[in-house]
Amino acid sequence: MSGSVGFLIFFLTYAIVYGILAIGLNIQWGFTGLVNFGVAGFFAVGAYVAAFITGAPSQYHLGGFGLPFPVGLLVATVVSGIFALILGFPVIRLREDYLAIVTIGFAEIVRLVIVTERHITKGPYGMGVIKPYNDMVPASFYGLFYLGIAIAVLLVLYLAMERAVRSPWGRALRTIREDERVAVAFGKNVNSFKLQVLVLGSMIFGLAGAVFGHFFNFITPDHFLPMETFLVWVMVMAGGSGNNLGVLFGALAIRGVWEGMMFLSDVLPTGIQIGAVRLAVIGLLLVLVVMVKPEGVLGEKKTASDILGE
Amino acid sequence: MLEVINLEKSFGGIRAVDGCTFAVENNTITGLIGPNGAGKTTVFNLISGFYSPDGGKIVLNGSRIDQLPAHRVPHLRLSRTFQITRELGKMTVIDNLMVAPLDQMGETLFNSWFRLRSVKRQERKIREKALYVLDFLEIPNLKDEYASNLSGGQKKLLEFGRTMMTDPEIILLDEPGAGVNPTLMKKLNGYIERLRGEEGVTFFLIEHDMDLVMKLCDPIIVMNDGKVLAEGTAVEIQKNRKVLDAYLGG
Ligand SMILES: Nc1ncnc2c1ncn2[C@@H]1O[C@H](COP(=O)(O)OP(=O)(O)O)[C@@H](O)[C@H]1O
Ligand SMILES: [Mg+2]
Repeated sequence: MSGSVGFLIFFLTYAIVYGILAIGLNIQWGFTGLVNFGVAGFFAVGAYVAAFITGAPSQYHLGGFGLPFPVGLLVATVVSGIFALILGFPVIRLREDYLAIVTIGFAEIVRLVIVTERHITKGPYGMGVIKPYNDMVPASFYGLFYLGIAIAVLLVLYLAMERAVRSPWGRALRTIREDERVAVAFGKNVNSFKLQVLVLGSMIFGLAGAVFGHFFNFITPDHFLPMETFLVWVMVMAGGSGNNLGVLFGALAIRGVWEGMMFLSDVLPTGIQIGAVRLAVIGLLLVLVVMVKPEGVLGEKKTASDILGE
Repeated sequence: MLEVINLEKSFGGIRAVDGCTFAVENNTITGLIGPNGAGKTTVFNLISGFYSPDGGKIVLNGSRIDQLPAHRVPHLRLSRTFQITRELGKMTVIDNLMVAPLDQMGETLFNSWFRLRSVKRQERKIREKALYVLDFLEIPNLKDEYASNLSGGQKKLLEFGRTMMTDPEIILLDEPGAGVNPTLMKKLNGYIERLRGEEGVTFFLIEHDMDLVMKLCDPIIVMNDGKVLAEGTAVEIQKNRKVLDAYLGG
């Protein structure tokens, strides 16, 4: 396949990984108002767990268990959810800023554990991840094939989350975001809803990790720096908090800017760090969007629950 | 139906509620009046579980409710409004109402994914009820307006409307009339009386408009400085020396 088509496929697959992350953060922040600054941590847990599950047995890291790819996705998703449950259970009833602090800490701990526990994760050297169904697809089509898998995962996720947030369940989440006391006064168990959302969103981050690892086929702790969390936040805020289509657009646009900036390295004078420049540009973009359209490019839909289609 | 016994609550050094004892009898419209800062709203917050008391008991239909988490209290069919309105600003008026009913089956993820038909059936009923409430409050045209765009009086109506959505046995109204135009207020009073007469709902309401309280409420409880100052019919309260002193003395 020609170079530019190959790049487009790579770009789209990568954007979908971030799209999945953005949908996860949207349910937490966009709909419920939960502040999770540890997106990268759950992302990492998902990527590594999936790699252990599907990898061939090795003496250099945990597993591999050589299990099928869907099992990898499933276990990665569930394990991320368990981490969120353990983290959230004591914290969710406290003031909201505690969740922000605890999730930052969690993500850093996960990354440091990956770096230091080399016998489990191969540490900073990184771990290879299999190409699922590699033997069934001609090599030149593999990228396209995996893009198809990524699209399928995103589509199922998108439809499931849309159904969820457009139901009375989603309306209760919006109520909690707008005014917790009203939710309480009308009998909603706010802590339970918040815990559900923390776990569900974090499962989605884990799923994104699994999709990412099997796409990139190589994962290192450096793929899960706090910067990833920042990028996902920008995607959600710029694309439109509370609108799943909006945050997908945000993911695509921000990935586009991010990759597009790579081409700038040829024109920029030598000595300028492209990494720093593109971070500044992303930050500037966010400021611009927030100033011009505070609700994001695609704002939230007006009606909370529309399952009746009215 | 509702008994409050030796209730106490302090904030820092302020004894906002200082040993209150009173009862709200079944099927009455009981008024709670008193000067600003008397502790009335705090009493409501204690009854509805938003604050936990420092001392005393709250008994609803024979069982203690003062240790319950606040979100359990509405399930005992006690509903409340807020003095300072708490509208869900970035949600439409009809969504503000539709979120109110308790035990909505669509409020679990499982049901919203796998039992959509039954969820829809319930949702249709909730929607019908919300439309009825909007008609009743004479604001059907505001149905799809963001609640943040409502006027003060309209927000008060929305507060009232939300309690109508939950089929309560007892409703606590914190200054329902503030900012509502007199004609509509009359209608609200009519509705309160009708609900009490036809459906046996009990009302416990805080109100500043004395004319209204004297006409609507029987009995009336007067609070001052966190304590119950007097209790009785409108006529008794109007003649009570201590009550006159409290109001005139500030
Ligand atoms: N959450 C709170 N924190 C601190 N002080 C409070 C709080 N709520 C009420 N108070 C104080 O308690 C007293 C009684 O207030 P409140 O119950 O609102 O009176 P009322 O409704 O009768 O006007 C006031 O002095 C008020 O400042
Ligand atoms: Mg008050």
